[in-house]
Formats: sequence, C-alpha cells, structure tokens
Amino acid sequence: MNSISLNRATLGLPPALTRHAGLAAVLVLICLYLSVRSEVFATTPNLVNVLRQVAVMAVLAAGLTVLMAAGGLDFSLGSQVAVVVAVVARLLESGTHVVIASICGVLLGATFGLVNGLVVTVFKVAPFVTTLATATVLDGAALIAMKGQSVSAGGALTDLGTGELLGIPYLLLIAVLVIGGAAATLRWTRFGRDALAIGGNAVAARLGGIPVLRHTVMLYVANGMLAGLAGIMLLSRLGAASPGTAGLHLELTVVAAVVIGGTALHGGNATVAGTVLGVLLLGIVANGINLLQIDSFYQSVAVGVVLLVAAVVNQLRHRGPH
Amino acid sequence: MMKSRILTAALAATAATTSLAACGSGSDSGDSDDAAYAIGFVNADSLDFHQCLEAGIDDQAQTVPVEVVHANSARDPAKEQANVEDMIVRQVDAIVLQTVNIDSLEGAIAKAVAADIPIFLTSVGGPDMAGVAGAELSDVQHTGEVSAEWLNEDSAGQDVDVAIIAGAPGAASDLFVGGFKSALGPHATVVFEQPGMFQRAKAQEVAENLLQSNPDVDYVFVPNEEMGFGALTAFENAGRSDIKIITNGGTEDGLEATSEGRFAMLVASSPYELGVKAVSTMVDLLENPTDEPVIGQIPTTVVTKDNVDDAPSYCG
Repeated sequence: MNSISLNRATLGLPPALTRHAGLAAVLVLICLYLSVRSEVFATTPNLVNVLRQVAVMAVLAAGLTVLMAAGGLDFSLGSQVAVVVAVVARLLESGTHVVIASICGVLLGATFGLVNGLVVTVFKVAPFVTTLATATVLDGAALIAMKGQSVSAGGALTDLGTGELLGIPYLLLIAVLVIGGAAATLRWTRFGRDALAIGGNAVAARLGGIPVLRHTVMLYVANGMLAGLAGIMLLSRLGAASPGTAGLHLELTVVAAVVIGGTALHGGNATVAGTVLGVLLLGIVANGINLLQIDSFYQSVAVGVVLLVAAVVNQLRHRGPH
Repeated sequence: MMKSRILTAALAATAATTSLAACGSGSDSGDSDDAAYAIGFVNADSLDFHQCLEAGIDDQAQTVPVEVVHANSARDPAKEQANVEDMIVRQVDAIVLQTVNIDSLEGAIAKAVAADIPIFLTSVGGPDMAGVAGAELSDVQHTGEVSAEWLNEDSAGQDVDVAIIAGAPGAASDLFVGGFKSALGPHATVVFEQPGMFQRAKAQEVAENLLQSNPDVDYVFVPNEEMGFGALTAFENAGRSDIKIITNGGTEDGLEATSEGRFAMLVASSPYELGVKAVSTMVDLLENPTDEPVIGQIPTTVVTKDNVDDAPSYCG
C-alpha cells in the first residue's frame, strides 16, 4: 500500500485516474492496435459512431453502478428496455403524441423498478432471483406487446436517434448527462454515500439511521426509469420494436461493463469512471471486430479474452489500495 | 408477520396456478366429431412466421376436416421434445413439426418413429430424413443462389463491392451465405462479411460499422427481412439510399419496402401456404402411405419494386 501511495505521489496523479490505470491501459492498447490495423478506426465519424452505439448501454450501466453500490442487482434491465421499446412503439403507431408516449415509457420502467424494489425489500428475496424472475416475465410481456411482430415507431423519434448538437449525437449527450448525474450522486450527495453505506453493511447502515428500505426501493425505481429512458433511446435508433431486441443479451453486456469497471458485485464499492471505461471497452471491441472482419466463429472468443484480460488487469490494479 | 405469510402463500398459489396453466399450453381446433384425423402441430415460436404457419394449418384443417392439437415450444429444444412426447401420449394420427433448431430434430423424429406415428417437418429438415413421412422444406442455399444470380444480372457485368450481414453462425446462415457466394459472378467482390445474429438491432449496428469500413459498398446481402430492416435503418439514418439491399422474407412490411425501392430485391415465400401444404400432404400420406419420405421445397418468388403483386400472401 505504501509503495502504491508513494508511486501516486511521485506521479502526481489523482487516485481517480490511477485506480483505473490497468483498464485504461488495456483500452489504449486496443485502440492503438485497431488504429494500426484499420485506417478507419481512429477517424472522427467512426468514433462518434461507436459512442452513439454505446449510449444506451452507458445509461443503463450508470444507473446499475449506483444500484450495485448499495448491494443491489438488476438482471431485468434489458427486459425492461424490451417492454418499453415495444409499448412505446405501439403507442406511437396508434397515434399517441411522442412526448406522452415517452413519459409512459419512463413511468412503465419506474413501475417495473418499483415491483423489483418491493419484492427485494419487503419479501427479502435475493435481487438476483427477483430480477431474473421479473426478466423472464418481461421477456414474455415484450412479445405479447409486439404480438410477435415488428412494430414500426414511424418517424416520431428519428430526430432523437439521428440528430446532433455541434456534431455530438443527442443520444451521446443524454448518456453523458446520466453518467454525470450518477457520478455526482455517488460522490457528492448524501443519498449516494448512504447507498455505499448500505452496500457495505446494510445492518450497520440501518442502525446508523439510514432508511435502507426506502433508499433501496428508490434505487430500483431510478434504474427502472433509466431503463425507460434507454428504451426510448434504443427505439429512436432502431425506428421499430422487434422480437429479440434488448433482453438478456443487453443485460449481460451492461452487467459486464459495470463489473469490469471495478464495481463490486456485493456492494459497498462503486466507480462510475470504471463503468464508463467498461462500456467503452465493450463498444470499441464490437466495432473493432466488424472493422477487422474477424471470422464469426472467433468473435465470442475474442470478446471473452479481452473481457477476461481487462477484468484481471483492473482487479490487480484495484486490489492495491485496499 | 401473519399478514406477510398469508400474502406469501397467496403469491405462491397464484404462481403455481399460472405455471400449471402455462404447462397446459396445448389447445385444440377443428371439430373433433367430424374430423377424419387428429394431427398434432408442434410450433417453434410465436413470431410472425409461426403465427402465419399456424393460420395456414388451421384453415386447411377445417376444410378436410382434421382436428389439430397445438403445442408451442417457445424456442426451447427441451420443450420441443416434451411437446412431441405429449402428442404421442395423446395418440394423434400424425405430427407436424416446426422445429426450434436442426439439432433437436433427431430426438423428436426418433420418438415419433418409435411410437409409429408419422411425422411431417415444415421449413427445417435434418441431415437424416429417413424416419420422416414427409417434409416441406425451405431451401435456404437456393435462396442464397437466387439472390446472387439477381445481383449478377442487376450489376450487368460492372465491378461491384458486396457486403454480407449473415445470421448467427451455424447451419441456416452458413447455407444462405454459402449459396450466395457460390453463385456470385467474377465481377462481384465480397468486401465485408459479419454476423448480424438474425437480430434487427445487431444487424443495424453491423451495418453502421460497415458504412465506416466500406462506405463504397454497392450491394448488401442480408438473409432475413428483420435484419434487412436493421441494415435499411442504418443506411437511411446515414442518408444512403444508393446501397442495394437483397433480403429474404415476404411480410407485408417487407413487400411495402420493396415496392418503395428501399429493398432492391426480396426473395418472398409464404408460411401460410406452407401450413396449407403441410396439412394437405400429411392427409394424403395418412390415406396413401409411402415407403419413401415425400419431400418438397417451399416455392419462392423473386420480388422487386416492379412485380410486388406477384408475391404470395404471407399470412393468407
């Protein structure tokens, strides 16, 4: 610990930077490799393309980071997104105004979050089990809402999905705002510190006067609302809801991004900066695989190896100060 | 405390009832009194394709009449096996199977053969068809070849760059892509080939990346319509209407996109007609059994914006 503190002092870098040096180094190495192998990778249009592609994942991952700080877990986020995408598309198809449809989407997400939060807190069911069960229900609900068919959202959300402000996609701006909000909540608000305390030791937190149940339910609701927002963002990009959109695959990607970033699965320790690096890593690897045209049979192997190396490197680095 | 126990018990009871109701997902249609035969139809999923297939089966069953016992495997190979076993227990005269995937076929066929119940496959067949009574199959390799032949004709000898957004790695996608590549002319070069996993969102992401790596691409071959729409959205979002999309399907939305020229070419087929054909062939086979399996191919139509009216009705 002393040597690490000394190194930090020598380098003069703030802990927030050195904490993720390992993961950042992996990311930089991959970017360098891709830049050498593909002349397109490091161009502005491609980087904007990648950032637009990861925006939905980033919104979900930012919320999940705060929830996991408090020892929670939500495996139903991807399925919540699937239902929101389906329902909002149906509303838009039936002529509902885009603002009302979007508000309905966010409220729907909040309802899913409330159910998860109440089951976890009132019935004391483990978050993993609760949210896996609700994810299964919601996967079916998404298919029911779509009646197994694609539902076009028309052009109502196209501006959101494709529009830019000073060259920055709206979707990316939303993601940055949500990430900033999550980071500020964890670092500077009492609610954020309470969440970390609950994740560290829920009993001690309750004895210390923190309203554990209320905070936990609020976190699940907030995650549900972000799933609603992410659903609207995804729909704006895709232009239609279709079976198989979002669901478990998206959920696993989000959880992977958060955990690779260094947030503890058991709570009490969370880092939004790490989550951002995890999201970028996954997005860049997916983009790089297409650019380099890696054979489809080897893609899973490539992604898995990168994730494993990143997680190990980050953990080695992460372990030092503790 | 007592209250929460009661609530827990009530929840458990509700869950158990729901599960039992879900387990009994089979349903009957057709007038069993007049029915000449009872056919068990095991469907693979509840998507557009499967619903239209089922509609074709039910409509044809009413004209014979045949009683149809339904079951749905919900994309689960294990559930498919259980559904086939249920049909055997119910002693249906024949089973029509739309399989979840090619790998779960063998067990299902073996069970039906052991129970001496003829089995008929729709759209997907296996490497060994010896045990089946008949099948009406989708020749995906031929679809790939037809797509490439249209491209050869459309590009009229010009040098063109072609991209392939394939499905999930595995039998069906490999056959589509293999057929397509084998029939491509010498002037067409495949410059990009990546999997879209048969998902619209993934195909869109891959198409966005394609625009970065190979912006000059002329044609994109996408083996199913859902992914075709994903690619189309990516191109339209980027303001690119010059890239010609070649895909396979035939839904109302797909035909509309073709009539507007947004899909350059669509290989169209009809799951409804597949259902009709499956029941009529199966009834023929029950009345006049054959030693060899009767295997047909689902007819396809090459559709461009000039002949959309020639496409078969997707859902009857």
